[in-house]
Amino acid sequence: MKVHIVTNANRDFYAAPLEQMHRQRHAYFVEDMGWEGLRRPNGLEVDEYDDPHAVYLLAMDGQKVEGSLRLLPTWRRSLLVERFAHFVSEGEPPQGPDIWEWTRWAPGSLARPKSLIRARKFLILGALEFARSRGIDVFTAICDMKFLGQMIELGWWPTPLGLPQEFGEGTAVALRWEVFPDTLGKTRAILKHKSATAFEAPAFASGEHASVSNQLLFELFSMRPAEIGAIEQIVFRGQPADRTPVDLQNIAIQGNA
Amino acid sequence: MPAVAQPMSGDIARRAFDAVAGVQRARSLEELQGLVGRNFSSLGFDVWVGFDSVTSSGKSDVNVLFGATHAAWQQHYKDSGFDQHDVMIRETLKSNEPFFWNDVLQRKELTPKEQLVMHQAADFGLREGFVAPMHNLDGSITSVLLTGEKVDVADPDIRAAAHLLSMYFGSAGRRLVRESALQALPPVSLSARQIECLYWVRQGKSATDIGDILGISTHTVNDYVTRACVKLGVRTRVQAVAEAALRGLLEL
Repeated sequence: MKVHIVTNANRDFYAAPLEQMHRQRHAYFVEDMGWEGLRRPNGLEVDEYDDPHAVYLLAMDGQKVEGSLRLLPTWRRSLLVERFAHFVSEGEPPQGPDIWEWTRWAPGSLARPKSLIRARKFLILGALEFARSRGIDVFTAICDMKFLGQMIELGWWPTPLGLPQEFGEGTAVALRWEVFPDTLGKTRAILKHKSATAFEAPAFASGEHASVSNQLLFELFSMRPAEIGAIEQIVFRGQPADRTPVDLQNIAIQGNA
Repeated sequence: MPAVAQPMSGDIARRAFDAVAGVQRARSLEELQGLVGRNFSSLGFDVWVGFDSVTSSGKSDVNVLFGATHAAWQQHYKDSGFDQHDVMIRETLKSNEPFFWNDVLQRKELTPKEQLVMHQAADFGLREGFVAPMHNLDGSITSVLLTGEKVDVADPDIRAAAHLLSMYFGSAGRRLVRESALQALPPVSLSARQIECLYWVRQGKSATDIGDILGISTHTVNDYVTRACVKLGVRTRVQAVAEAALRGLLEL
């Protein structure tokens, strides 16, 4: 399993996985969690925050999306600022260049608990690796009270910004928590997972051979290191010599984090 | 209504946040007790306790883990085997949703034995309580109980504060219980090769397979695994894997 970081730059690789994600979000929030307000006839859960600024973390086994998390750069969009400011009783909702908001936490399906637990672990670590790569200092969230216990047990010390309140589909609390240099290491220790989980594909290529090379790259992401050797020859045919296959292998194994 | 002055709304939030900060500072169960006491009682609670309530096989079995209990009631409860007839314990099986005792009493017919437990609790001064169940991955349930004679349960802010505090108190307490159990184990360090061998054992490989994978002899593999067993104080390969995982030495 890898956590793919999907941004506006590489999103064209991920048309199919993103649709899977919206479908899985619908299944999780509407069927599992019972958030009827999100029910849509087409079975895809999409809202106005699914815009070009959103970053998605997709926990994928091969090409199958097992779970997802949406991160919003608060200086552009934030549910806490725009919709849930009344959940914050002290001061203003946190907003700024180093602050990102967790939204649409959908680690999987309750019908498949083993896979959910695994995807949850990968997404949590993937989000911390993403935080490291982007210099994120603070995460915020409107957190359903059902998940508050898990966050505390991860040792993240989330600070409540107000008392819990009804939000229409349950009870939630506004939280902020700091990401320290050792948060990733400590969380890896708690979750008993040592290696990197996140992978960020380079920007989508355009031009003559784009569709072929993009498809090859996409397949590459989901491969085992041993299988990469066979493919990288093809991918790098005609590429400048400074991008060596070894680099690619390292990227595929370790992600960018 | 109790005769004491109730805290104002903003006041309740402030006290709840102070209590949360106290919980987060605690590095041991003793500290947890010391840091939260004043804040909890300022909100009107005089019992705040975390306890195992249901075993992984679904049996009611109450064991106090941390916090401040009502000692006389706890003793009487245990001596009388009340956990078998406690409607509130049964309620924790349903979901992770926390509840006040009165919420349950209003919608449920109690059996005579269940009524007896509630009546006797009231005789000990426990007339209303807030219970937050936490379902563990193995199916067992740990719960937090907050009670106090002066708690105004009709106040939505008090309810919200109880909800918030029980989550922080319960989760932090559970983490500290786990940590202290781990610290009680004698420290063990395994060599990189020993960990590598256990990893492949975990993958279901035989000693011969592992020897082939790592490019060493079967004899050497067995030697690594045996030494790991000795260090971990277990007899079998499978026990060694479980024990190493528990101590965080082996990734699962």
